Amino acid sequence: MKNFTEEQLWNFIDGSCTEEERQQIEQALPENEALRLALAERMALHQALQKIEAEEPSMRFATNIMERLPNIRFALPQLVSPKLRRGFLLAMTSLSAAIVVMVLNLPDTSSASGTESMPYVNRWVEWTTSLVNSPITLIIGCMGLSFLLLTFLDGYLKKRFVLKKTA
Amino acid sequence: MSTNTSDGQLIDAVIRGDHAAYRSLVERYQKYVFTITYNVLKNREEAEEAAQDVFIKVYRTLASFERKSKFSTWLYTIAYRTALDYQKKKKYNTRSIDSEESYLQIEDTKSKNPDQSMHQEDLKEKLKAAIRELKPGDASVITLFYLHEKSVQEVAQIMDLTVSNVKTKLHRLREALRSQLEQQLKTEIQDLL
Repeated sequence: MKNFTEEQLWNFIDGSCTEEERQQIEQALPENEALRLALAERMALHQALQKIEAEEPSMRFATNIMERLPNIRFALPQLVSPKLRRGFLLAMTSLSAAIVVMVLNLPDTSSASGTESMPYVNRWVEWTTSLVNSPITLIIGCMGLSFLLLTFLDGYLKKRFVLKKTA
Repeated sequence: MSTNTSDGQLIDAVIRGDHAAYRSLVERYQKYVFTITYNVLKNREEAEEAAQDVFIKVYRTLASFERKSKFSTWLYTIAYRTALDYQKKKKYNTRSIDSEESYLQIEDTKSKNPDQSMHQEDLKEKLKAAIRELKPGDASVITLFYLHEKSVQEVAQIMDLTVSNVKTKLHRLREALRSQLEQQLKTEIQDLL
């Protein structure tokens, strides 16, 4: 047992040693009594471990489980993950808040247009008109619609495929 | 349901609403799942309760099983983690492989009965007893590798360990078991020769 470590012997038994190591061990075996014994001992343990049987649960094990199943509904996978949904809602809320803050800070042009009684409404109208023509609006709109479509599909497919359990 | 039906076919049947298919899956894996929970919890009643919870959890989430790994690997991962959760709640007293004296003192039948050769069944029973005395994680490494015939990579995935960590544990554990059962193993070798 001078040349081979215990780990090398286990790797040899598991078949995970290198080809070179395997050849070295095989060549050393006929003339090395200690190596033969060490390997045989580990092989015996390996074979005994392979023959170990699983523990048996009680006879009613499967029945107990089946009796608990009728009230359970499948948690079907979601098309729109909850994380993505939360992230999107957070982004939309932040964007809306940013827009409100931005509009409130726009320069007041109401005196020039003669609508002094409703300055904020005037700002909103001006800002919205300019936003409609912007490509950003189109992108945000598409994203929002996609999200709503996926959420709708998610709900629809869940309802369609959730199993109607028969008690 | 035929025993030749694959796990994938059974899962599809369950999702379509075939209740009996799930029973087939439970019966196919109940022993293995129970062994995993038993190795961690060291108590039959607790292990059975945990194993039942495993199958309930699996049923609830079966439709989300992505089939990127084998069903058994996914199932055993849930079983191992559920057992660990139970163990955390109960704070079981277990022993570690790291200390030699932690092992169950296995009766040396040869020294008691020199003329009686050690039967393979005895060795198996002693091995099972020795494995039961191991720290939960250590016992799981051995049973997943041998009983469940999982590769080192799969064991690492199930137990959330690195491959090298599993290899090292496996090596240490087998050496510890070998030294513990040395006498019985020598008898076994003599019987074979």
